[in-house]
Amino acid sequence: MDASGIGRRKFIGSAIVAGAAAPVAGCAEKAVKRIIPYVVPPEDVVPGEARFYRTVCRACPAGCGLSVRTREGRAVKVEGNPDHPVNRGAVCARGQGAIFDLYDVERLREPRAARGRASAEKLSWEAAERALVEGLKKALEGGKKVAIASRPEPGSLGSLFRSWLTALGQDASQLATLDPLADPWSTPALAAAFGAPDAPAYQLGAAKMILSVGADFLDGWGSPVEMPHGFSEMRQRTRAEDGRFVYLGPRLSATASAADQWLAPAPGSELDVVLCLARAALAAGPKAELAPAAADGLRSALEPYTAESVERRSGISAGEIQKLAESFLGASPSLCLGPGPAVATRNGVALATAVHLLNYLSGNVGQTVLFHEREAAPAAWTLEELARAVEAGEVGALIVHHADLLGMGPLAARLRAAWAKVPFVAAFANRLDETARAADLVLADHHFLEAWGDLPVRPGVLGLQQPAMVPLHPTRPAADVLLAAARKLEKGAGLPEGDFASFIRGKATPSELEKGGRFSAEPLRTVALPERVQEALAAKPTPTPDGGMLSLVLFPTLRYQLGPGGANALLEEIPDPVSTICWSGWVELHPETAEQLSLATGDRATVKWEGGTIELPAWVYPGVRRGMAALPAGIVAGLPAAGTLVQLAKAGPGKQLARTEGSPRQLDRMLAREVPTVRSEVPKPHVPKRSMYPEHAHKRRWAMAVDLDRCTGCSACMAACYVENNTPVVGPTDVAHGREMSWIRMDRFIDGPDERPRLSFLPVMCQQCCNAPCEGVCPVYVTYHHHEGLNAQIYNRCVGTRYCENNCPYHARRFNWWNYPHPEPSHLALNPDVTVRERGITEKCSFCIQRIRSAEEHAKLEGRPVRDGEVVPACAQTCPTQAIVFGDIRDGASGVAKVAADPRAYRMMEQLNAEPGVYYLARVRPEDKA
Amino acid sequence: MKDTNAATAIQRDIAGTLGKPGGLWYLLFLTCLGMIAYGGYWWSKMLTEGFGHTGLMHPGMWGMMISSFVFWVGIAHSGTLISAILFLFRAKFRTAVYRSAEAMTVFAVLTAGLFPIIHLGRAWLGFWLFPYPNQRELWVNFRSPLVWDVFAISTYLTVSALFLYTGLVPDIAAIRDTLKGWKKKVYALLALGWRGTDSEWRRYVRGYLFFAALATPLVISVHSVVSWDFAMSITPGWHSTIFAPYFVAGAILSGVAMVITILVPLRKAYKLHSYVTGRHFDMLSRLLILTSLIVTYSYGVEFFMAAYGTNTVERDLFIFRATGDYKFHFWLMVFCNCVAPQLCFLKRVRENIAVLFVISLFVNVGMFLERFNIVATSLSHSHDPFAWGNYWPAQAEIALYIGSFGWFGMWFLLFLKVLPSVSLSEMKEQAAEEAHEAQGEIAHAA
Repeated sequence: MDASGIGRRKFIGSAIVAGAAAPVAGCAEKAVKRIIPYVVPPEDVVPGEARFYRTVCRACPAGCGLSVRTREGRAVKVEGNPDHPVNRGAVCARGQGAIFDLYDVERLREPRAARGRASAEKLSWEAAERALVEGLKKALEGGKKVAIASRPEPGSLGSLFRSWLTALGQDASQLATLDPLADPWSTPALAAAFGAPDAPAYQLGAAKMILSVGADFLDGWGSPVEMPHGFSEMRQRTRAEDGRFVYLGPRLSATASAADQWLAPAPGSELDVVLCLARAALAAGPKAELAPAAADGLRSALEPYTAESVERRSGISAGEIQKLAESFLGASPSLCLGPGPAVATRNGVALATAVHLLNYLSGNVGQTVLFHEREAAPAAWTLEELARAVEAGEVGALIVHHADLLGMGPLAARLRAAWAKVPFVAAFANRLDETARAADLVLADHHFLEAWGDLPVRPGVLGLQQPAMVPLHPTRPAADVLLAAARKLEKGAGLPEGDFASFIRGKATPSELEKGGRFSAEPLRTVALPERVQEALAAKPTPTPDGGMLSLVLFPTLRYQLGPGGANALLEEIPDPVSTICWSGWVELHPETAEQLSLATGDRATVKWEGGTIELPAWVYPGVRRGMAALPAGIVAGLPAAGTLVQLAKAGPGKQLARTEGSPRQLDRMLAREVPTVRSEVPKPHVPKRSMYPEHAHKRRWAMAVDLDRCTGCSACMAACYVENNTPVVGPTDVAHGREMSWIRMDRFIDGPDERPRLSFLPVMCQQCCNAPCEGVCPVYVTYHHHEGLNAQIYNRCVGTRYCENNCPYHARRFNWWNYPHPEPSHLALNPDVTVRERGITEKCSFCIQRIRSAEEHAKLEGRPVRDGEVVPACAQTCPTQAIVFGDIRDGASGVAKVAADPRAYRMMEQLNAEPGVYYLARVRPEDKA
Repeated sequence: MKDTNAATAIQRDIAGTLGKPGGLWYLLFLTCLGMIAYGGYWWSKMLTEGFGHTGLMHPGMWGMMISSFVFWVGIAHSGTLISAILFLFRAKFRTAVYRSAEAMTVFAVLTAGLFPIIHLGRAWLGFWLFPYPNQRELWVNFRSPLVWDVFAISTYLTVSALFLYTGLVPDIAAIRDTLKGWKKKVYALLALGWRGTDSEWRRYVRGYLFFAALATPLVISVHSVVSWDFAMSITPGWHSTIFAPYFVAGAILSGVAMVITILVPLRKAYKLHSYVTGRHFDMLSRLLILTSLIVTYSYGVEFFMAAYGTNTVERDLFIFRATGDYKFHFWLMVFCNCVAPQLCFLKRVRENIAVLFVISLFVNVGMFLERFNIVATSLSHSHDPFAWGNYWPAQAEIALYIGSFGWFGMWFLLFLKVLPSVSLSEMKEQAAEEAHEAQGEIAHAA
């Protein structure tokens, strides 16, 4: 014991106490959750095994076939029905978003009473049905009309509506259809050109040359999967023969960017260009029957449209027009598509007629433009007639069926004004849209993935709709509610006995249900030009913008096509491929126009026109003509017709715009590469194979190949990836902050001078490198090299240093900034095969490893190796143009190995020696000979 | 008897700093606690709600927290530099300041070490970065520079703490001898039974020398490893072989500046003018010039390599650094680190403590900006232009940075009141030597 009073024992004792106090760690207890097994397991449900049900997509009227993947009795993902002739296995982003609608938190779960109430009051089904019967009874007793306004229902439901109206003693024609894809010029033009047959089907795949007149068929104009699919077929067939695709329109859309040539004539002069081509076709000798009198009439009508005179009006050189005429007429068959909303302004009908005329004279009708033999459509109200009847107070009860009459369409304002004149409105809906809010009674309908039905797309193609799961909420199908009401009114005579489901089941055989529809040869008919077709070609003068006025350009987007814009979180989050903006609308301006208005990207701009005004963020884009303001029609509601003159003014600086673009320029970094012909070789950098580490011994090497010549930037792959991999949707604030979670980033580059901008798309997912830069820097082996060539990621090992993302030259990794909530019932949409990631960890594309595993397990059970093409990642499965190929590249016979051996194949940033497993095929962009 | 008097005076002056804290001390201490609370509040939000509270984003996955980490490691080096390297070179002027410098090292490493943990997405699993035997047979990836970093920082913390402690033992014993009651017991415990015998002194001097020799290469190795956190990646702007010497020079520059920043008010507060003299500041400013020139040279080399090489990604990045969205930060950094220290070439500046203090503040700011520039600009302008994006710190990171100063300050203030901030034994030794020399001179003159 020394002077200080501290001895050896005391010292050691103190040291022990200090040491023991240090590692006191707080471990929060986690809530215990129990897994309850089936007490009585349902037959033929194997837990952990997916079951597929075939049905049809009702997200838009295109009528694609779906194969819905269900797990333990709930739908988790939609995929395309490969047997359906419309979409042949692919689904667009909008279709992929159906799962989000199904499990939407805001989906209507029960009937409501709405009109005149601050908040829609919940009702029981008994009360709702009573209210419906009351409303109908009052209208019938008052001698007023009962009318139905519906989304397009060409199948049994439409017939049921008509028989229901008849049974109620009404005229069966009191059924109006609100078709979001309808435009005001198509029907009159068809009447003028061919004497009113139904809309034709376009065979893009059969064409050797396509001229699109402002028709953004790769951006959602027309059938969103069938069109790109046909285009891709056309490209594959004609690339070697210098197949041409020319786009005529004021805006460089994704469609225009896929074209070999983009011509932007002066607004309104597209008609002159098409007529000039028609004139050339007539001069070269029409390839279809033409009565001499008709030919003479046309000849004199088309006489003024010489290339030189058109040059004056359109600003496109006569040589260019002549070259276009030569290549269009030289290719047989060719195809002229359009007009799209971007160009169909005042002369929409004339332009549409001119397009039909050009197709007819070039001999395309019957080859690439097919008219079907079909029964005459039963008489029905147009929206105009409906509006007139409502205004006249003739309608005593209006049944609305998934049609947002007040929220969209040309007559929304008129109907809103006269709405009070309808004493009773019942709306079948899935969510409270504007019309539902203004209805007396809102009837919660099944989601289409829970319902029965059928959808004839065209003669010979009947899609069958069957439920993929038991309804999530106590909703009721519209048909059954209407049938029950008719029976209660004692007017059930002539209506089908039983419910609608058994009615549909009675019409379809089990094998047809299994196949997803009834598909047979499509009966075609011939059409001929009427004699005085030239009368429909007369052009009205287009007002030229002056005094700072801009001409309005409308364009469809793949998010909502031409509308109506919904509240689908997934579709809101997926950026528009061209502008990369999400979660809001925008107005596009040419840099010079923007400068005159002193507007910059992100500023708030007021768009004013006669009778309306709207405030939107501006986006400065060299791909839109000077003096025009381009707006996405499907996203921004309540816009006037295209071609309207609008005035723009700066309303002030905006908040940070939610968009994914960093820089639009590639800066010669050769990421999205291009070659002049399909046979040209991509020059590759010489990279000496050097590594400090031994080469990986791969059992397999999973690899992907993306053909950039097929990719249209449609972003369906992104949507599929979100749904398959439980990727969270983060909302506009986080996207604006650069925190979107998508595992596929759609790089969009705008290269070239502002005069001739070139747009290119490059889907970037994890490149699954062999010498992965991310693997070396992870301190805890979260990411490591898998023996099947994958760059695997162990989520629960991740501590979140985020070094992997810093070191990934492709920036393919994402970090979980928050715990992203999955409020009930949206948690049911989660794919049980994929981990839901916690906040604080990094994640990335896994090449859909759950699908690889599943295929491997099935192969093992069957005692065989995994076949090529058996593993299809979600992105490849849904790609409308089949641009993505996946497989084992070590197997030389595999599809991906063949694609990777193409002379156009390259890997991104090969000079970094990361040895990525994703191959890209350079886009073919024929060098401009001009 | 002069040397005994001197020794008593030294003992009184320095032990006097340990007395009951004054109002200013309490004010500063509470300020520090407040700063810690501010940073702690934001960290708790990050821990419970997520990293969304920071300004981090894709692609700026690292930001101000990493800059702060490197900043504090850089500060730590100054302490080692002054105490160990100058000890090895037998630079006399270090005597007065080396204790605070050593303490600064330990507290700066302690502060720096927090940032990599705070920066983890799942900080509660931070211990996974250590290779410890576990039943899951998980191991760390020794190829990852972040693991090297764990070792570098923990080694540095251990060595600098032991180095500080070793130097303190005789002083603690000296203080122990003046105390009574429970305090005496505590100091006795800490003094490890030091009695001041010749054999103890012999071993002590030998041991201290070894620690100094061990700590010196650590300055280079630790900051080299920190630089490899960046240099080992393939990110343009980080992937560079000059990073290790560049970071070491930068660390010394920021360290010297921080020493000046701390010493000036300390000297004033505790009236240490006779121990920390103008000559000391003169020497420090010369060091400032040297390291500033090395750093300037490194900046030049980076730009030269980017311009001379064929890597366009690298070239674009450096053009962006100087002309892009972070250009203000870049040029401010150049002014602070390259231009301002050159004023020390003037003798008048070196003698003017106030100006020197301002220059040191500039360098502190500049060195922080340097780290910010390296981290933020490089990530924001990487290989794929479409994935570019600018990182700007949010309140959370600023709060954490402020909190880190509070944390550092808290330890330093505690240190001032608990342990002698100037080495008693060495000051006494020096005084004795001077007295001896003076006597010798008198004798000689006689």
